[in-house]
Amino acid sequence: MLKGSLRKLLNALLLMIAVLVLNFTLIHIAPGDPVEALVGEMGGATPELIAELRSRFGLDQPLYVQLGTYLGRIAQGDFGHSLYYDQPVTALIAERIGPTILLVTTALFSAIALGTVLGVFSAQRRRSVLSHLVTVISLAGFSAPVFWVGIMLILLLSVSVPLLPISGMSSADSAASGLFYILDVLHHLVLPALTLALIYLAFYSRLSRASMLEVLGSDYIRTARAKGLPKRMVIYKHALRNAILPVVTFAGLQFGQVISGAVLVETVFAWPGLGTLAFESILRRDTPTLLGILFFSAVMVVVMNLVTDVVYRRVDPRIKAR
Amino acid sequence: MTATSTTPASAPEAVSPGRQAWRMFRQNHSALFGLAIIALIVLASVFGPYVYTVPPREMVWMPLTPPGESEYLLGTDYLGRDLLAGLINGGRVTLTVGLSAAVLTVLIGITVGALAGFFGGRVDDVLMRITEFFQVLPNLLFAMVVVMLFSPSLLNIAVAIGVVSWTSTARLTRAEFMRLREMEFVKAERSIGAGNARLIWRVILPNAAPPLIVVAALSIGTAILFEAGLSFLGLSDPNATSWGRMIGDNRPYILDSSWGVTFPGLCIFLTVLAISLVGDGLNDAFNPKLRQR
Amino acid sequence: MLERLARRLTSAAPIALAAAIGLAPIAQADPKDGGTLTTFTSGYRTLNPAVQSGAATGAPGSQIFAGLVTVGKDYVVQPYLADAWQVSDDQLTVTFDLVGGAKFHDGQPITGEDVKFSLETVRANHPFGSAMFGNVESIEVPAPDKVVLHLAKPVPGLLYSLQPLLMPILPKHVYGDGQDMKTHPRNMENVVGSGPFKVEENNPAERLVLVKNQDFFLKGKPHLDKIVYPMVKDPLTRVLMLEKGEIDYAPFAGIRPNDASRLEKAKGAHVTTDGYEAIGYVHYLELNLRNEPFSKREVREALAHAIDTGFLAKVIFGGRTVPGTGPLHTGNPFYSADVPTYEPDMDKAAAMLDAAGYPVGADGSRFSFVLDVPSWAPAAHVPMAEYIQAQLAKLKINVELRKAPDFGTWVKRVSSWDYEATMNGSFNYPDPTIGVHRHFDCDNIKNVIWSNTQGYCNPEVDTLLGAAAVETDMAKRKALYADIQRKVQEDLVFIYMPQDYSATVYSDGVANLPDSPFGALSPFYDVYLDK
Repeated sequence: MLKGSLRKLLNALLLMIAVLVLNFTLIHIAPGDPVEALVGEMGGATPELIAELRSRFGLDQPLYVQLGTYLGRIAQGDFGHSLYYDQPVTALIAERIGPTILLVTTALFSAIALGTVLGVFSAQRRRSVLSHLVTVISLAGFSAPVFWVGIMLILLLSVSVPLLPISGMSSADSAASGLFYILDVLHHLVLPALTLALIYLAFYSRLSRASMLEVLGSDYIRTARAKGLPKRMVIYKHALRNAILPVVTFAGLQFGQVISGAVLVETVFAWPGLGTLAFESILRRDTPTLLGILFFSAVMVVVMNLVTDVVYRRVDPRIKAR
Repeated sequence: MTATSTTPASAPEAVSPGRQAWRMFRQNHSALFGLAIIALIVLASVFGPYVYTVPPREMVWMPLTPPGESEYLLGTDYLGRDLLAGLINGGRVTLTVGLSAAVLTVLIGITVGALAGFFGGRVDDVLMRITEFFQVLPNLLFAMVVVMLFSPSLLNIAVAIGVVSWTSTARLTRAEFMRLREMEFVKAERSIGAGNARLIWRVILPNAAPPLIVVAALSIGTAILFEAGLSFLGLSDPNATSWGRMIGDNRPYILDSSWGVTFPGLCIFLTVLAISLVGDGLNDAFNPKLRQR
Repeated sequence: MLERLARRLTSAAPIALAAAIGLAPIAQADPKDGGTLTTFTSGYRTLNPAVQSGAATGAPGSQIFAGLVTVGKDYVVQPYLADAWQVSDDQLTVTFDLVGGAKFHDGQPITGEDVKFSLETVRANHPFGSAMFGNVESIEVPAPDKVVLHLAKPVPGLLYSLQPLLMPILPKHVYGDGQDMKTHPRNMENVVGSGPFKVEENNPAERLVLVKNQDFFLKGKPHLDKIVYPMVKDPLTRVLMLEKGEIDYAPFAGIRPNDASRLEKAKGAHVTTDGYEAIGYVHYLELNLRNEPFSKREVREALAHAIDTGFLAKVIFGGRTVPGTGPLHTGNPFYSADVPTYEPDMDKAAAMLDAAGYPVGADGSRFSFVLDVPSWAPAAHVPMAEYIQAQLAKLKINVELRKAPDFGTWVKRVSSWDYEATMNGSFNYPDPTIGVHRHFDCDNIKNVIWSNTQGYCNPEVDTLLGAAAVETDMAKRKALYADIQRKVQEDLVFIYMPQDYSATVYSDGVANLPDSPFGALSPFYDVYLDK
């Protein structure tokens, strides 16, 4: 058991190093040059200054030397400085991760909660209206581009009926503080979270219905019912517990992909999270920031996989026994 | 399709599984509806530009003209370009990229999965490490980086989507291959001297086909959504306009023109929806048991 | 000739002077003190205009830092930190007297040494640094309130370069610690300025808040308590906020032509295009003149006849701008309309291409080229490029658009001359010697972006540019620039597109906005709220 965990950790570590090396190499062999981008942002510069900047960022060194230096620094927890913001990459990520987590957790948890309820109930009556509703939601949610859903919601709830703010995380008026600030942020959160939640909902309602159907059809539930246990107890005590397992697994995986999932929604709503930072860093060729975010999101995936694994063991007694 | 059959042809049933599946599929009205929509969209994209000849990138009328207020049925965009012409021609781009990306996804996924599942051991270990590695990368973000770094041409976009999307196909193929390689009919083929290549491509793959066909169909939809997302962000070929790019281009003008974003979005939605319906129909057709339950 | 720009004024005089010659339209009513002006930012990387050009830094930078002078209506230079200056008869020595008792935000006095340090910093670090101050041979500080500039050659635009936007007065005791100025931590953290407003909160992801500098050296100013710059990147949000009155003042890229029509109808909102004359944003098609076919003037002329810039002005900018006719913006004081123009005429264009040796070939085309589309200003450049592509296709010229993935890639291609054609645009400001000469000087054919990257050299034009650079007589200088504009349009160095649409939206009650041709980039110490 312990040996297995150790192996998993080592595996994850190797994976992380591979991610670093690939991303670094890819970004550095591609055409284009961060210094040129920076110089452009400054409004132009002399060739001498360009050369100086290049040597300051170590870009005049051979690629393997740069890679070695980079890995060495990472080992010490130093992800370098953003070329654009003149701030350490770690500080930048720390600043932007909060809004992203807020957005994604709100969307994910509401979708899981609602999706599980929908899925579980619709699985019990296969030809009911609810069951058809789940089918429609899941099909629509899977087929609609998330950014388009966001724009449609803006047209509906910000433009036609001006209920909700169109973008950003807080109002321009900086006077708000304390409770008002929190309310303001929540007000801004509704639309992007709703957009993201609709997409997640499609997935979780379908997933929980499928797994509930699977469990309800399984032998031990049939046995339980044959033994004359009340229907309600069978469903809530036995079936639900098992049906929720895949939901846990996927929630973990999805949370790991949090940044990728949020890029489009954050862009539509100008939400100041990691997704927008990543997109801007690509446009600015801000290599250290981009590498930091890519690495950070890979770490998220790996960590969430490990966490999911642990949770899964807790929830599912069968695995523990094995 | 059953474990005891040596080859599909000598299966106990009189009808081939393919025909049986089609029979099932035919009874599925939503799947047939999906198929009809796909046929319509493909026809419109392939022949539409010859029938409706308004040039899609020419500024033909007053910008931001609402639908129905000019000879241009769906109105014009922020540059006075005909929206209908844009949709018809954009469909070509969207479908081409979606289809090529899906083909790439499936090719990589099946190759990796088949090799890992068939050989097992060291090969499986290495290939699964690689798969894990690609699973860990944030897929949209990584595709954005690739497209950005190597310039946004249609080919690069398709490749980027393929490179980040193949892992689930690979895992599925691997599982199928692991299950099938121990089956009697495979052992029988091996005993009469079939080589590895024959076993993989001729013997196991056809038997693993049903779930893979479903995945392949669905991956076209995923690829279309992926392309739409990239184009929406502006990561698109400047020489070609896809539906996703139309949404991105018209988004800043939604206060004055909702049609500029609504129609291209509907096109994407309908196309992917139709593909999903067909995918679901195929799934049910290949797994009659699941339906009966 | 003895020309004296000298002005002797008491420290309280700037207001008197401004009022006397009818500059800043000081309303009948007395300015009211207090209130918060809400504007916006779409993001900035530094607050120090000494190391960064552009409006994102310049607009707040001109509030945080003072300058030696400001520029008022019709380009009239007004006293600021320098309450007077004298120019020697030979135009080679300029002496500035500084206001007494001026202090930085941290309470340290502002001295001539700080002015000297600031000028040297700008010269070394600002993109236009050497263009503006390359002819400043030495700087002398004979007394703490006196600064003397010694020039190698007369510099007619010198005073324009001494406004806070271009030469902010920096505290030497903060920045003079030997650290690199471009990445100095104090450019963003704990910024110590010299201007009418102090930094209270600087969080580039959310907002910048400036508060009134109680110890500002111009007594009784500024009037506003606060200026707030919330981060609003999304143009839609800006428009909605302006409609609702949540933003009081939105200059620069905030407003697009279709928004303008919308906002003109909104209650309490005003739209003006004043305040962008000096910046002079012009768009153009840049052709690499080194290689065929664009080395042939006839080919360029054919292109000019094929591209209907009047049509583009209507479509892209809603008819709110005019087609460019040359390197200078129509709002520039040296602008001349007396230039050759090329009317839209596809038949003529086709005939010219035939004559130039580019008939339609066996493959059905005359020639092909790649047109680069920069990643910046996509709302202007992408439609322009697509229009050119469609238009030239009618002439059987194949144009392949190549969108640079990021800014750096485009800069690299153009500055290393590795391109055939590109959409481009640049700013005139603040003096043609800085924004215009760089594109035409023979000795500025460099591997630097927005230099003479297209490789144009006409000795006749070069001579005219040299003369205009040192001519201090306005009328004569105007005549020289008229000649220059005519010549470069005869040569068709660039094919000019419509001028950019720039507008400011402000709400009722915002009074005394700067009427300088530099608009939002001027100090706001006279602005007040009347609501």
